[in-house]
Amino acid sequence: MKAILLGLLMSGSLFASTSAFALDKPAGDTILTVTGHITNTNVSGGAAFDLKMLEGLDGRKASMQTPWTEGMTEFSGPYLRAVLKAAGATGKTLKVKAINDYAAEVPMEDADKLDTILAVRMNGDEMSVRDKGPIFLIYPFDKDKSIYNEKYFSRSVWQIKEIEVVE
Amino acid sequence: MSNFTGSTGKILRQAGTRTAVLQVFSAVLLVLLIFLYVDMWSRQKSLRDGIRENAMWAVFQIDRESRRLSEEVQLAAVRGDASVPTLKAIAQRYDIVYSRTDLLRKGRFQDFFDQNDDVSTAGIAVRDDVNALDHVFTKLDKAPDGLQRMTASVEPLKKLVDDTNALLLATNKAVSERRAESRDDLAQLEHTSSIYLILLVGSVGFLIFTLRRQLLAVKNAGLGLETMANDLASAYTAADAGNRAKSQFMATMGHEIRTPLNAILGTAELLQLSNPEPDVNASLQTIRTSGEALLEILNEILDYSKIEYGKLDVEMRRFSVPEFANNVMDMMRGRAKEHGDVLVLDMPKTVERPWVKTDPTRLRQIVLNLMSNAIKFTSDGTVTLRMREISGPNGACLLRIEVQDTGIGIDEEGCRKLFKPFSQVDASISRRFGGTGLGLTISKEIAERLGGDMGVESEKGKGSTFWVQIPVERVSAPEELAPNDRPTGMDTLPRLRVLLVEDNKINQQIATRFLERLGQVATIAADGLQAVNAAAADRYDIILMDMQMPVMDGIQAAREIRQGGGINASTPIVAMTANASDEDRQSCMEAGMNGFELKPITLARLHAVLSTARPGSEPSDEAKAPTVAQPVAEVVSLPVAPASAVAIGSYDIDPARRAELIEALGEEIFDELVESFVNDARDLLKEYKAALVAADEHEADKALHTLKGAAANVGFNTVSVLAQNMRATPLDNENYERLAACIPGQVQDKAA
Repeated sequence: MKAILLGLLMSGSLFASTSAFALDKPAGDTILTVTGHITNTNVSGGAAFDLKMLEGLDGRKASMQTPWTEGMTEFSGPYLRAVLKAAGATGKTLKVKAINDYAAEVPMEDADKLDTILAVRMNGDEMSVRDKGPIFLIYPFDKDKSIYNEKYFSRSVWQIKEIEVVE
Repeated sequence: MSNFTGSTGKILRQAGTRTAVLQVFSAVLLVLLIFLYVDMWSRQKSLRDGIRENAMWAVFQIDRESRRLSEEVQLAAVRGDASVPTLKAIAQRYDIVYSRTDLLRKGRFQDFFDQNDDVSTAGIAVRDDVNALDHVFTKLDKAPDGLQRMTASVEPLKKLVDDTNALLLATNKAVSERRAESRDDLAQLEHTSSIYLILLVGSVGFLIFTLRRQLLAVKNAGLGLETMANDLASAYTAADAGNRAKSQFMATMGHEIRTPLNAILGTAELLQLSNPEPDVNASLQTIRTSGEALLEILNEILDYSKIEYGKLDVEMRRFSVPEFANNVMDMMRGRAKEHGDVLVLDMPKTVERPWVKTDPTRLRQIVLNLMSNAIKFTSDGTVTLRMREISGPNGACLLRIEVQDTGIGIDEEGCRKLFKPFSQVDASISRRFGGTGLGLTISKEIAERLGGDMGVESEKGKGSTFWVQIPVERVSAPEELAPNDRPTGMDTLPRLRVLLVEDNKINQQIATRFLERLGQVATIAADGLQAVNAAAADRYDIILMDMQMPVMDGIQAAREIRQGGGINASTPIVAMTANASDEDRQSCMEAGMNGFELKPITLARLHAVLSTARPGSEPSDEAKAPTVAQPVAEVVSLPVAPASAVAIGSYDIDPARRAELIEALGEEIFDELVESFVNDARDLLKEYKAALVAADEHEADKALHTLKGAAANVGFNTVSVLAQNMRATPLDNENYERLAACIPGQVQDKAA
């Protein structure tokens, strides 16, 4: 409360800035940038996250089978909605972009209604680019068999580097 | 009905089999269809899970990324650009290619790639190419010889691009083929399933059709059954009506035949009385014997038809066993004599409970039948009537009567046939002895009807023993006071106004005397109508009412006196009758009578009856002048007959009754009374005989009724019982003779 009041006094405006305490700058290498309709930014025009920041957010760890892995594989990482919330994202669609310029449109409700995570670890290890790292959008295939299909496969983008929030 | 059993039954049977087959068939089809759909569903699922499109995409991505890597490396090599960002970017490109290639070895992708040789070979080539380039791009940005490495990798990269292109083409081809195959498979499946479906629909349709037919057949069967039930019901009714008609026919025919037969017998007897020539007399005797045999047969047939129709009525009455036995013996004596047989009555001297209740008339019919059979089949032998009272189960009392003869006897086979209708031991028997063979059947039926049984023990040539055993109810003897006790204990009665209603003159006299003894003077009415008129004119303290009377019977008279509401509407009326059945008692009470006394009434009973009546408070003129009784009917004075005409001592008079009458009336008057009775009886016998010849059953019955009542009153018990029995049986000359034999003077007439 004291900090807020101090902040208010220092900024001199009630509505000017909320980013100062909402999102820190990444200390390590940036592995994800959220752009577009967001309110919280820490770099110019975007919210940049390093591994530590992402792993600090609310998330889940789950074992499942995917078309791209062999046998049961454990994925862990923050919920997509937690990341979006941290960035203050508002919109209906997300454009998830990979480092090879692959991109898929993901509806915002996939983040809200499904426990979709931005996996940063596979079987407990960080993921290199060769292992589809650094970030892999993983749907909860373990929880809901009905989403195990091409529609969601195509949205399961790997080697993610940026999420653009549209509208 | 035959249609129903024919076509409908066939339809039902066929439909049953057909339905079963169709049901099995439908079930099999259904199972097949389920399997088919499970198969289709799993295929669809595998299709959905399938990653063919993804595989294609993955291969395309490999090709694309390989080309971009190749282009960037060539560009950098040509430019000699070995800056760290460039090298870093190229290294990342290689990583991407690597990750893409790596995917081919992962999970379900690998399955797909392994399935096709071309694709597999091409895939292995690509992977080898990528692996071969690994050392070039690993930590490229940190390598001092970055440019040389890139230049050296230009050619292998070109090979990689060629190989990825080859993989792309092979994959495309394989995927296309698989897609086509899968489409064919699916089409095939759909085809098969539609065939199954059509079969199933057809089968179900046929099933419905068959079921419908079956239902129709069942409905028809139901209707058929209903019709059949109706037919049966009407057939039964018809049969029943037929049986009724038969019984009616038998009764009518019996009556019609009996009437002229009686006339023939009567005429023959009358002719015999006119002292004909011996040869004529012999012919007349033949006519009588044959006629009587015919009459007997007729009676048996009539009885049998009654039994068959279930119309055999029984009437339970109180009677004395020794008296019963003696009666039977008396009745059979004449016939036994004809056959030279000795009749023996074997009965304990002191019968413990001589009074029992059953139907004595029917029982007598049985015993007479057995006795006459025994006599018929025994010549110059002995026929024994054995009477025993034995204890049955549950303390019941059984009356066992045995008739033992020393006649021809019956063999074992004959014994078995004996009680069957129309059967005699053998044909020669019926030729020799005659008879319908119904007697024993009827007897057995009667015995069973009375709750008892009947049987025979016999040995051929040594004689037979027929037995009948029926349950009887032990009852107390009718109140009968020893002569000594009689008038002494009686209180003097007050003067009463008594109306005595009695048609029989003997009875009138006895009752009048008894009343006189009790200090009463009675007004006499000779029938019901006179009684009603008398009751309307004067007030009485008690009315003694006979039951069966000419003009108007006692029941009717009592009813009219009660319902007329006159001065005697509430005067006690006591029925005096020889009819002792419960039914009679009931109808007396219903007619409004107050009491019921059995005839012949004793002095003591009469005293008891009168003592229940109270003299009226307003004495009438008659009561004031007690000596003058104004009889409505003329009091008949006893005809004075010469005492020597008949020897009174030889009469079969009940000693107790005799004593009572003498005590009440004096010996002289009693003798007069007996004389009067005998004269009356002769007249009545004549009346009966005339009725017999004229076949007038009504007149005959009237005569017998009067005779019975009068005989009982004077103490001629045998005559009384005989007359009563004759009332229950058809008109019969033989019976008439039996009765006549019991009345003194009549026999003498015959002998004369």
